[in-house]
Amino acid sequence: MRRGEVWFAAQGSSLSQAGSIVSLHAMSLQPMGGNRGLGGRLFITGASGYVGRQVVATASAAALPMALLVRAPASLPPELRAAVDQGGVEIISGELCDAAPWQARVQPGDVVLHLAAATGKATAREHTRINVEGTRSLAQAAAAGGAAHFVLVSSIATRFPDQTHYPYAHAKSEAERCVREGPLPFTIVRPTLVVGPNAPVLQGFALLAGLPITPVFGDGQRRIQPIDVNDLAAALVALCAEPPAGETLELGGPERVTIDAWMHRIRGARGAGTARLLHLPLVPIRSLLAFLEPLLLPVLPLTAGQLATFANDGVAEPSAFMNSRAGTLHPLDISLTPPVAERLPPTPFDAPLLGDECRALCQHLIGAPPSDAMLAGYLEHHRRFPVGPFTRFENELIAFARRSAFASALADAYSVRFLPNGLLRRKLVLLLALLETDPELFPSVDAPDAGGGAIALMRLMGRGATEVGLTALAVLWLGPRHLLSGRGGDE
Amino acid sequence: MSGEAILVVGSGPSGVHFAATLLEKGYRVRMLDVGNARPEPIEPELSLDGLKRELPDPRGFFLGDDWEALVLNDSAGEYYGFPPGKQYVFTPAEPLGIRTQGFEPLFSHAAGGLAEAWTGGSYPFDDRDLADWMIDCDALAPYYGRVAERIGISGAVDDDLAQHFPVHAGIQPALELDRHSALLLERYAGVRDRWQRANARLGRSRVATLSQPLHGRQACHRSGRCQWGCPTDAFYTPSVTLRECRENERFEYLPDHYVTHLALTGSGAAAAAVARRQDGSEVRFEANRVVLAAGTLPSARIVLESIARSGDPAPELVGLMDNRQVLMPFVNLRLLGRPFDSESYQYHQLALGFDPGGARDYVHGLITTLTTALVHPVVQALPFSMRTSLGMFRNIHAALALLNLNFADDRRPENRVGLEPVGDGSHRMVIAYQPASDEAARMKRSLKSLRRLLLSLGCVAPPPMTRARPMGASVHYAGTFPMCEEGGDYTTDRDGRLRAFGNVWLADGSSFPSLPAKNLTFTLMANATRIAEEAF
Ligand SMILES: Cc1cc2nc3c(=O)[nH]c(=O)nc-3n(C[C@H](O)[C@H](O)[C@H](O)COP(=O)(O)OP(=O)(O)OC[C@H]3O[C@@H](n4cnc5c(N)ncnc54)[C@H](O)[C@@H]3O)c2cc1C
Ligand code: SF4
Repeated sequence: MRRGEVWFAAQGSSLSQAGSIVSLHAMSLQPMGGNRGLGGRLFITGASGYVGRQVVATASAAALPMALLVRAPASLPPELRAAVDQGGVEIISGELCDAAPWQARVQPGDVVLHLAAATGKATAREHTRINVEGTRSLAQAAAAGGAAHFVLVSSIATRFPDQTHYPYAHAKSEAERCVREGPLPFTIVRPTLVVGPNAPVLQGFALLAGLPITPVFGDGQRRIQPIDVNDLAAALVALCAEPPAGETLELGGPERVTIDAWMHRIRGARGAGTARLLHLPLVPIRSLLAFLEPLLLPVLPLTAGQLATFANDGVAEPSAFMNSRAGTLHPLDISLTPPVAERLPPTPFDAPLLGDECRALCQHLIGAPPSDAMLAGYLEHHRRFPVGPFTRFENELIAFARRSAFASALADAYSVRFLPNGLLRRKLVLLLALLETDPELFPSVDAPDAGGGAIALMRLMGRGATEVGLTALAVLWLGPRHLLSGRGGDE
Repeated sequence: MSGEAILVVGSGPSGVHFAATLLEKGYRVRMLDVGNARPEPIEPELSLDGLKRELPDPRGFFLGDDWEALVLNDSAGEYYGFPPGKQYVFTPAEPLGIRTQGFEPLFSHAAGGLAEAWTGGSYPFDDRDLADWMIDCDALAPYYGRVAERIGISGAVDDDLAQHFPVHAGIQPALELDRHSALLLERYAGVRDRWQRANARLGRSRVATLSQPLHGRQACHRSGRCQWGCPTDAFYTPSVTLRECRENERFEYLPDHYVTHLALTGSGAAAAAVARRQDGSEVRFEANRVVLAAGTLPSARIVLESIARSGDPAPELVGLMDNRQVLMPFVNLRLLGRPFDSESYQYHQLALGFDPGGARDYVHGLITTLTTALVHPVVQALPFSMRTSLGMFRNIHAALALLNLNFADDRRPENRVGLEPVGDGSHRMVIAYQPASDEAARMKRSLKSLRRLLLSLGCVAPPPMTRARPMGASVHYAGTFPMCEEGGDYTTDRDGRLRAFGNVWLADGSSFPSLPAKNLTFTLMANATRIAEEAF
């Protein structure tokens, strides 16, 4: 299933498949008046983020003039670079909290779209500094520069009743207050959970859903209403083109689902069966995380605050604005479908890298390095028969295997079950063929272990047991990554 | 008896034994053949391991200069395990185009035909096998003997299995057994009664391999190179007989002649064979008598094309046969963890007959104790990670063996060979095959019993590893122009003479009216010899 195709089908659109989702949304802006109401430019913060990139793409497709406030112009994501190259986009280098150097670049009539925020594992202080102070300083700079409209992208979490250990939610509420009490006409937007291709939140959930047993914190009955990043970006650009609402709008997707159903749906969209759920008590885990956070924040897999999703309903209050867009929203299952695993072209011939690979795999296979003849053969085959196209995950798997003989062992155990026709196994077969025709090493593919008879039988059983262990480890370690990358396209 | 040369098409087992017999009778023979020649054997004195150690480029020899014998995990299609040195035996397909359904045929344009890559199993048919034929065992026995004396067949004449093989001359003592095969026979001696109660017998194979020198050829010296091409001709291939024929001044061998069709006279007899050469030229060979021995499928094509070119619609030939083969790998528990012996004869040394009773039910099995085939295709087929699979393989290599079961086939109307036009006035061959409706049930019954019998020898055959090969894979094609007392144009008389043309004989498997489970090539050779002897 390809996102684009299904989308067109769902819309009953007469557009050819050559069109993209982005251009469709850009078109859906037109009836709303193009850049009517947009007297100046879109002044965007947080353009490099997940939502920001999509906003820039949408605005760029609608040919809206933009100014992007970015911290590191040298390392722009490629999507932004492309928009910049198209023209009509000004890049302003600067820090959100230090407005002095760039304040003068705000122009009268600009619509400020404030997306930049600290999320995830930032400390409480960081949350306050960036989300509260940053918003305040941006609002002041915008007012000083004569901006016409301030659009704050907040979060549905600001109205979670249970915000225990959740500095992000506190900070965002405070930021909302700054904007409401600030000098500029405003619109405050609270998106629900944002999904779509490679959405960070979705990746986190997909990791959980990909496990053989999926942990769900709490009873799994809280409801969420995920919104597709494309729909959110289109809605934000549309709101920027409207006169300031002076109110708070909650933006959610077309469906409300419980957390339990959500886990099943994520797996379903990746071609896997329903999830096996394990409900864990929320309160003790949250307390434990909160207790550990001061010390271990950088290494914890998630924060106590992030568990708020499991403790609260995260659905949007209906609004006339969202009702008017209902027909254009991506169905949830489409948003959850990973993009068809992208096939990468054959990797350029890279002798040193292949040499490392050959050594790691050989060490794994026979516990000894390859002979010179094998190494030469390995390189020759790769040079003569460049492999590919192959998927990103396969590429990652090989890079992983290259790390060490043990990593190779995990990748090998994983490949035979889940990618038997894949690239890694192909390389292992090649290596084996080189081994059995090597003038010196060929006996190593035939020589039985010392002992024979009953000992051999025990050894075989030992090998079987090791295989089971390695496979389990490989499934835990590599399975979620594989599922995440869109298994459907691999085979 | 010189005079006009008899025109023979094809140098496979059928063609060369037909020609050799005519030459023995004093005829002149002109043989048209595509005739791709086999490369000269290298370092004949080296053993298989010797080749790995001593050759300057063992990888090139074993995997091929173009890596053509490398079997990667995504390689598609049936795996035959042909080494690079034997690739010349197989042409990709019929050069004039082919469309198949339910059938995956192999073709050869080699001097010597498909049997340049065969495994030498040579089993005479008995009276039950020949029930539908116009000849019986007694009539064929002298020709089996004559062929055996020409090519050299070794095997036992007095073991349990031998009762399935009618007596004929020219059998050499059996080859020296490899350790695994010897162990199986030894075990069998202890459970013989049980096997016999199940109507099964185990014994020595009959193979076209010399245990004693013959006509200037050496006996097998256990080099272990069979799969890569026997360097000394201890293992028989038809090119040996072709070479002998070519020493006869009455024999004219014309390679690089691909026969497209026979030109017909107004009365519908063959006037000439028309052949195409590689340079694109077309050559016409007038002949009063033409013998087609191009292999069942190519011969069918030549006949059909001849009719199509004469302006009549080409008929659809019904009754194509092939033996279904089932591969049943097994492990001999007593040999786990033992070293294996690479310096032994490589093809099957044991065979089994299983006879559950019904007319078509006799199952013929060949047991190959896998030793020196390429390892990587086997290891990757094990259901573990590569390292574990290799570790397992090292310890089960000596214990591994393969039972290759052949099931009989009969002529059924749904199995057809025809021609279809492809636009520019030329045609392609169309082959359609459906297994018999009771095939699956018959196979299942036999497999279950055989698995149990193997267990009685201390061997385990894991069911998931047992696999039926696609039809066409056994390369035992027959039945397109069956011999019968009276029949239509597209049948032959007892001597393989095609009724439609009158002066064309089919000396290959085309005229077989049924296909027993036993490998057919020995009978192809004997039958071709019989036709040459009796009809000419
Ligand atoms: C791997 C393998 C193992 C086998 N093992 C056994 C075994 O153990 N026992 C057994 O009994 N059988 C075995 N066989 C089967 C055996 O090889 C065939 O049954 C046998 O070769 C058929 O002989 P043939 O002479 O009828 O035809 P082919 O062998 O097909 O010979 C055909 C000849 O005709 C020539 N030819 C074809 N078309 C034309 C044309 N249009 N013009 C001119 N010349 C043409 C070709 O060049 C060739 O010389 C095996 C086959 C294979 C591939
Ligand atoms: S038949 Fe096989 S083992 Fe015997 S000499 Fe020939 S290649 Fe060697």
